Amino acid sequence: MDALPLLAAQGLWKRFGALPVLKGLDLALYPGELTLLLGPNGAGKTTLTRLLSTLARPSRGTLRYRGEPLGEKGRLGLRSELGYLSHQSFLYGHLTAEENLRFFGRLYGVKDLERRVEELLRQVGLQEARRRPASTFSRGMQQRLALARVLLPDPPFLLLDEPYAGLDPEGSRTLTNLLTTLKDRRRAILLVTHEVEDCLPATDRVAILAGGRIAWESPAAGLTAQAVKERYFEVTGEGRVR
Amino acid sequence: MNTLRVIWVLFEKDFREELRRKENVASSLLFALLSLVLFAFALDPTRVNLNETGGGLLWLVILFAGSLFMGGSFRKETENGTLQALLLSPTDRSAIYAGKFLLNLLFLLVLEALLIFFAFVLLDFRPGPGLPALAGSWCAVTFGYAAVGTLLSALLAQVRGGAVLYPILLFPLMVPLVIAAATLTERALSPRFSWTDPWLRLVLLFDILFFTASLFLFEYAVEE
Repeated sequence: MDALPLLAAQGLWKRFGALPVLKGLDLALYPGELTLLLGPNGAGKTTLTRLLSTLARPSRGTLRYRGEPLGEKGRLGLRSELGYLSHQSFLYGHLTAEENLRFFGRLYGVKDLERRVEELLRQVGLQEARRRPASTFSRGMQQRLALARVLLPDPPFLLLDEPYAGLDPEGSRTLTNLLTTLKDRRRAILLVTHEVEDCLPATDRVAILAGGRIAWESPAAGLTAQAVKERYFEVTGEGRVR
Repeated sequence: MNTLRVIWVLFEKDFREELRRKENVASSLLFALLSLVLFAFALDPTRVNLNETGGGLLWLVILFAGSLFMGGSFRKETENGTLQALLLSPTDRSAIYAGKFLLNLLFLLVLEALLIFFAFVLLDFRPGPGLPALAGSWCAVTFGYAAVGTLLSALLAQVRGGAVLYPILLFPLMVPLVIAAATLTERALSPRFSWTDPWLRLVLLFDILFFTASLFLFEYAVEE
């Protein structure tokens, strides 16, 4: 593990009106490491990903990117190195799969764009459907195209919120293999999901978000999916991880 | 990637999407055409001289039909969260505003050209030699309308009931522009028109002020 995290949150607070969702959260994400974030509904997982992706600003606390506090210039720098997969697809339904990828590729200034689009469509298994509008895709196909969109600029930092949603078993296996490859290529990955069994083989660190903080954190080495589920139940009082 | 290129990429994407989506373009153009047809039935051309009174009338149609199109320009970006995708891209956020503004401006200008043609056919509206003055002053007014309309669309895109609020907030802001547009239309069609008309200068001031302010305010309008 690198000594310097790619992105670090220190004492992060986020309030919506008088309601605090995050209460002094600390988290560090390192290159070449996949952190699995678990937490019950309403724990603030999506709020955290929005803060880490610059889509929202913290009420209090510091975000450091490559060791520097995140100012305006840093926010732009972070955005250029970030791939964010949300539970929304971020796709244009009236554009075809390849038009979607071309648009985002041009927005990110991706070099050799046509080759990259071709490569990603093949990687996510959507070559045959490349000329179909994204609105005609099934949930699983949209998820695969969304993943291709995220990977298009080859970002060093990936925030993946429920990437397994809608994927069939074959798609889930492909995603886990892809995550392992990305980790080997020194990408820092934060994965928010309830699908522990699917992603545990690629995971380096497991964290449970509860009560607005990281309530439990552990290296994944030696942990079984069953052990994670038991710990999740102890910490949150819920059993909703698979 | 330079800002002008981002503006062009966004404009091109929106243009392509609107051509396929059709609903915004069709509803707005149909509304404008139907309004003119109704005016043709309601107004007696032997008693009403549209060259004298028609400016206000035509601008009300442009205002209503234009709001139907512009109101959706950012709202459609919330359907699959694409507004967030745009905000996450490593681009100057004012470029996102400018790309949308450009498409709205183009649409309004096309709408106005069609409106003048149909007003000529249905209502005996005859700009004649005043056409260059009419075109120049309408372009200036349209620029300001598109600037405010685009910013407001961004501001209300993520607000519940934003579609209803949009015209309620937009139309009062447009009062000075509509007065200027009606006056300038009347003057453009008479020998009284001058390119240094105080109303035209007022419109240009409005354009500069609102477009510049919108470029700066856009980031705050879309941020949580």
